[in-house]
Amino acid sequence: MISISLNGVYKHYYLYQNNIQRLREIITGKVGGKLIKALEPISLELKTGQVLGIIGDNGAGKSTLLKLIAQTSAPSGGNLQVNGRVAALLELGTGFHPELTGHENIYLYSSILGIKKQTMDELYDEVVNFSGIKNFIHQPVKTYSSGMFVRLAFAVATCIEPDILIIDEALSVGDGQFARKSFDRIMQFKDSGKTILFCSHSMFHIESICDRTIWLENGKVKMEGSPDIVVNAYKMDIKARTSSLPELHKPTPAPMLDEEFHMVEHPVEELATPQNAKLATFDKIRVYADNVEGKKLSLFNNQTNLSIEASYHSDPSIEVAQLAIAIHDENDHVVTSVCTLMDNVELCRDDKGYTHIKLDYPDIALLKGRYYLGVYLMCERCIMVYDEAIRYVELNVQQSGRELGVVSLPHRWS
Amino acid sequence: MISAISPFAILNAFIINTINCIWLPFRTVAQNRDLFFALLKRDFTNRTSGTGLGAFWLLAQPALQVVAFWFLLDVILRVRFPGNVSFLDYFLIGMIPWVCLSEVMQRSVRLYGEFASIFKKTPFPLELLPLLSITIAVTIYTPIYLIVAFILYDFSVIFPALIVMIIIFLWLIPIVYLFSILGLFIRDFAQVVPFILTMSMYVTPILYMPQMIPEEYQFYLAFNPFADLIALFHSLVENKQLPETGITLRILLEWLLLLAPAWWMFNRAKKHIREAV
Repeated sequence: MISISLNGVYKHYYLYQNNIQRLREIITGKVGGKLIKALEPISLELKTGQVLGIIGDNGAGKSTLLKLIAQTSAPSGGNLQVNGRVAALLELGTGFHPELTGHENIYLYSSILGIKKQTMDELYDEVVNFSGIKNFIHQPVKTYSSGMFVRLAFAVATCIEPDILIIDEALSVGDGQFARKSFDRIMQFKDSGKTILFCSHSMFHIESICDRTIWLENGKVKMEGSPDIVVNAYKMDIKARTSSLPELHKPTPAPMLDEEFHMVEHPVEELATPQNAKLATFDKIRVYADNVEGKKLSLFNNQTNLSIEASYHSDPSIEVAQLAIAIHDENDHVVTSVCTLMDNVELCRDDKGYTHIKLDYPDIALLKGRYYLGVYLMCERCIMVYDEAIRYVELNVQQSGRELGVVSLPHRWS
Repeated sequence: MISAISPFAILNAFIINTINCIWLPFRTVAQNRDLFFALLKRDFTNRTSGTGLGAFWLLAQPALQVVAFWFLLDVILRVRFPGNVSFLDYFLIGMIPWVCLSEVMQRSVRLYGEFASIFKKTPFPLELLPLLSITIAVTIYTPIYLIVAFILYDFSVIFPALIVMIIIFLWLIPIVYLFSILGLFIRDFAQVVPFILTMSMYVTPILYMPQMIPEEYQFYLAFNPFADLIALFHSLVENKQLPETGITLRILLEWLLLLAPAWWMFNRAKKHIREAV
């Protein structure tokens, strides 16, 4: 079944100096002002259950596209069809009224989305339970902390049994337990075959959850296809652009290439409560180069044994956290990475919730240069990051020969 | 575009817009009943939240306004009407509808600004707000008007008084759709409307009877739509009949002629509203 279909949909608008100019256009039909082409005609068909990733630089038209599909912005032309109820996690909490109580806002907001009161009556308890602010539900939302506000907004947006989910940037909202809960909720939508549109700067997340990806540039679709291909092309493009420009004229930093594993925080974010913010934390990380421990290690290509010992604690209420280790070069490009999930490592957790694990890189294959080792604690799907130790250890690799590159691969001449 | 316009096309568009202006607002409400009632409730909450007397203020506000005028004109200035008409009777029958009318019109020019936080980033049906603002005011003033009319006369005026409120409701539809757009796009319009309304109250026979205007000026009342409306209300409630045909026809004609431009304007402005607030 077709869930979303766009046929030549575009969004152009005019920038006006004042509203009188705008009124002149309304009355005479003659357009004035400065034309902004936010989105050029785009045709796209999304089947039920597909997860579409949208990537591109800031201002490429990603948000415009999402808003059109969320129906909070009208297309300037073309044919847009959206079959099913849409939950848009865009700017959560807009549409809430500060004077009204949480309870009243739930009904008001859901009625804006076109949900019948009886339907909402049935869903009400779920919304309140999910938001976890039962005790405050009859208080005006102006008394809520920003975290409570986001929780309630997220709960309303996702408890309405949407057919289509629109996510801008973050795969979870809030903090601590709620971040985990909201992440689970989104993954649940993915697993139950809902259509998802996901726009992010995190290429890692795009590749992790999307079936299809489009790359927007200046309001046009530059590329479309499977995530690995499109993401790679996009990365290459960023690399080319940033390296070809002289230092002084570097544009805004290359979007998040350096943040492969980072959870991009939602703009409306709760003030972290440090005690319970993390569901899993590192207890100890030790890195050895041939039994020498340190934060700055000297290694020798194809000779040194690099080993990493980590012990960490994960909340017994969640599945045991997975460990990922990445080696970055000086520009933060990942050279190589490993993960307990991909390697099917059986992780043991003791009664107190601690896990101890060791990784060995025998005869390290890295070639000459300086590298950094990062260690990450992630959820059981390896998408959400609980804790991280970025650039935890510096590795200085030396080699005897004059081979070029970053790594020597196992090889055989004949 | 301009070249394609024929008189027939204009007439056709006029008729379609006229029908739409009456029909589509109600259809939107029907399709979004739950939202409509939630907003209605929200509005009452807003007006009363944080006040000690709560809902009492909904009635007290207009009542105090009426008392102030009564005190000034009847008690202090001792205005006496021709033909033994009681000042208070005459005054109340015209004043309450006027307060309702002017309240809706004053609000209309700021309507979209007021609700911006709710509709700006949501798929909110924008057609709903004008009708909502009318419904709110009419809901508040109808019971007041019926009770006052009953106290002044008897049971038999309840129905005519109800008709008055229905007329107010319908009369306001094109006005509010038009004003809400003009007020949004022309800030000066929003500034000038309250002033015009205040002035209109003095040139409209609300605080005095039309017969008290010097004869040579009475002719000008025909150019004041509010004067016609007030005459209609008085005639309906006091005499339980329509006023002279000229007045009734003028009201009807002005209303009918305004529907199409109002809807045309609203419809074309609709997609700009979210960007303009």
